[in-house]
Amino acid sequence: MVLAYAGKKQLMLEMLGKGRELANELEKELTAVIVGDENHALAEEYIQYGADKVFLIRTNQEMFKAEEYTQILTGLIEESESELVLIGSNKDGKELAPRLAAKLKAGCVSECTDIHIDDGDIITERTIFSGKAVAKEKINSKQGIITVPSKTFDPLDADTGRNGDIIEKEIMVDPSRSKIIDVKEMEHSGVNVEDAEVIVSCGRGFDNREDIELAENLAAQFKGRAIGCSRPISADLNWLPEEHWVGLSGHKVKPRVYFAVGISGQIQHIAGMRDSDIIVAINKDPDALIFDNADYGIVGDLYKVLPELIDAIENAKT
Amino acid sequence: MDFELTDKQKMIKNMVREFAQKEIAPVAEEIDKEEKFPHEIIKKMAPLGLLAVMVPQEYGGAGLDTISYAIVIEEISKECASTGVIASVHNSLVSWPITEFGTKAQKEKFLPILAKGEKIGAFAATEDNAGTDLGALETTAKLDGDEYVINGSKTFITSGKDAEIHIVFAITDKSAGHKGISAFIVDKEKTEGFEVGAIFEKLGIHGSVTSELIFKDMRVPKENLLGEEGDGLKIALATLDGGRLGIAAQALGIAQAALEESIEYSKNRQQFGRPISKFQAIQWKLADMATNIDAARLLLYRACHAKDQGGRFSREAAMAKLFASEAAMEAAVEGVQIHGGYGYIKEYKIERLFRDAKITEIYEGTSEAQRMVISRDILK
Amino acid sequence: MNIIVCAKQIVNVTDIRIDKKTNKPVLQGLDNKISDIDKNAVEEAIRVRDEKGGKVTIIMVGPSEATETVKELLAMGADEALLIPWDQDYDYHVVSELLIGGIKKLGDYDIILCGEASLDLFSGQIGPRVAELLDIPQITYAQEIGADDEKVVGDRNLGDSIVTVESSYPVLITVTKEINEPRLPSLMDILGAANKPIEILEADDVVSEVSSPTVETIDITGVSMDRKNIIYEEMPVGEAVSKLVESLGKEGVI
Repeated sequence: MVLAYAGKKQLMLEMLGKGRELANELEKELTAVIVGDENHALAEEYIQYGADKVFLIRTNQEMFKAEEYTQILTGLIEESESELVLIGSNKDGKELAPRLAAKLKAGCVSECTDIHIDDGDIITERTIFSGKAVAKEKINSKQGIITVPSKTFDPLDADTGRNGDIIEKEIMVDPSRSKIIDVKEMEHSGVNVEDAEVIVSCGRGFDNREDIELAENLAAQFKGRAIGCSRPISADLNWLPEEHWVGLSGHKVKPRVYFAVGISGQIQHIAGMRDSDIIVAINKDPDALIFDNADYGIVGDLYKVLPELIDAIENAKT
Repeated sequence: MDFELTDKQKMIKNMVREFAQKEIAPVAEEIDKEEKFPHEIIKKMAPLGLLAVMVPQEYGGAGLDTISYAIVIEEISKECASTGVIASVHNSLVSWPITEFGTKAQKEKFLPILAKGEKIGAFAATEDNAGTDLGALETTAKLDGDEYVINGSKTFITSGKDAEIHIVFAITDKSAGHKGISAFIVDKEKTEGFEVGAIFEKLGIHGSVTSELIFKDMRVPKENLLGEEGDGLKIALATLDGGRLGIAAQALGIAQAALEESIEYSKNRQQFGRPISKFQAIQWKLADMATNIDAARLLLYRACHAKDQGGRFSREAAMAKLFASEAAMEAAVEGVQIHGGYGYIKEYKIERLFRDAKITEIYEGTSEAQRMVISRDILK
Repeated sequence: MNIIVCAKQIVNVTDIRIDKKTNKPVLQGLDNKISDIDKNAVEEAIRVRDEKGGKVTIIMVGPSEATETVKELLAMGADEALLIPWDQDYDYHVVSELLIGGIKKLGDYDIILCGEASLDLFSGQIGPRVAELLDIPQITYAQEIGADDEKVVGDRNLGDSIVTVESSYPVLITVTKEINEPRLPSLMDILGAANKPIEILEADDVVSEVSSPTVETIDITGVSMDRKNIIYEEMPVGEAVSKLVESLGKEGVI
């Protein structure tokens, strides 16, 4: 049996896509788990997206706690004799999976980018060493637990004709000694460039100081964001204070994504952002040096590209 | 024989490197540009023990060996040569002679203050007409009751404006020639007639704020005489032997930084479709730099070891200082060359290293003076 | 308050390069260090101890020469350390069993602190595994903790929300790097660390039988660091934008 659990629907659909493929190869059933929410419609949907069976679990616990979810899932895994367990790799899943693995004395691989079955063995791939390498690993324990990050696999197309079993269950857990006493939404105000996960950086391609708002609007689409700039914007024009200046004499940054907008890509600027995971360049000059240093680029006028990009990202998120 | 640093020395290197990268590197350019004495950094160095590396623990120091000291100065200088020389002077030209030649009372009074960085130290020997030739000093000190009255002026004093504890050399007995020079511990705050003269605009090490000092009937209590009357030259020479190890370490830090900057640049700078590090002309420059730096480091550690064994180490210190400073200059020159036009503009660190390197061949004994010391020793 | 910190020695990940011929990461000759977030855990442990009294013990499963890096943590202010030499593959199941074997030898504890993950492999498994094996609550991703005599309160950073959790002792807490700024040891601290005890217990001393690895590494290959240079040009802006958004989506950015 292949068992899949994620607290988020979209991630669950993606996992069911991959889970279906793995279950077929193993010639086993694919089971989805929904905890604490008697949502039959959701269970139906999971079946349409590839699940053979859905456990709908009623329980005495209220909010997610790894200690308690470990008890719930352990029972289900043992009962269903699951050999492969996929857990959604959000923050909850990442603390649940290893705890569950410890309980089952099982191998666990975190944040897999690929999973396949080779001669009956579960083979996983994940990036290690800050993205510098990929480790291919084989699970040797009776059960294998794998966490799956979002956007790694594609969901199947919904098949409204698919049939499956919805099994309601009540599982009571020993409550954890820990208590949740408060939950606060985190404010996503900007952060400084050196800590930023996403930086939108402005260069001489911007005509006026006011237009930097366009970059801010793009940045606003992301968490842990910051506005950066090249030397002229800060040192020469004083449109942005020095703490935004990315470059050799400015700040050295290494965000997950660096948008270089209207930046030509002088070597001093490159030296400050070279360690970014992904570099996206937007520039109207197709010969701009920045494109040599970019993973993705759009040759075009930033005043046309940015508004469309902001809309497109907004739409993609929903 | 063992060429490995000890666990402790490795840990010290890591700690100082992390400190320098975190606290010094971000402000080094500003210190240089604004010719700013790095008071903030010095304040942060004190609790880490970096201002009293070799001072005995009973006086608030770390009581460490000289190789550890060289490691400290190298790592600091790698990020900021100005801070490096300030620390070197404070440690080896001020705290060291007080430790070595001071009375118990002097040690108790001055060493903890210096260790805590409450007051910064300076070494006031050089005068307009007395550089390498310290015997030609003109500043005088005359005993008047319980106080010496000092008159004269000093020049090129590192930290001169910002330091408060000065080791001042003056003539107490002109007729005694070299034996007529004495050393004094002067606490600027506790005396009158101490004036800071001109502040020099220098080629490099802008942060060390070098100045003239002018003494006009400056009264210093008798108990601040360091050693005996007439011990001055002996104290100065012994102190400078140790000081040279500090300057060699500073030079080494500059050289190492120049090498690292050049490696980084050459791997990233593309010409003719490939990084310039693929060109043999660049590779050979880097190889020569690395070899010189390694040799300089070995000479320096050997000299530090000799000092810790006791006895004279003038020749070893002179060799280390001569070789390290010339290695620094060469690394800086070649480093700028590797950087091409970019090496000539202030945005690149190599430009500062180039300006900072030169002084290491000059102060605390020019390269020529080191050769003099070495040749005298091998020809005797 | 007895606090145990689980620490791991890793190679400096930023220095890892990929051998172009074999396409494998070169790990030999790299500097070893304590995984950065583990230093945050040690710093937090020291703070709690300084406020509440007690002692901080480091426990590490790692190479036998790791005493050198463990000393750094003693220099920071930890009181003593236990090293369980382990030169074989770092299997999370095996390592967590060794850790709890060691923890049981150490006696009573109130808090076990871990970094949320190690910087080399970033799995974040050790904390939750140890908590389960000891059957104690876990407070993961703590960006702030406050320890009372009776209970500890932690602010968990879940990315889009902060969840404040309270637990009685004993408890396991994993911390994020935002929780504090680990102190640098002074020269005097470094000298003092030489006199602090590092106990060494072999794997056989802490568990009756060492489990076999649950996960086996088959291969590690380098990832090209070259930029992809996928440039959308000579097409309408709308098309370029949607291709870019699709690519960013695949990268997991949106």
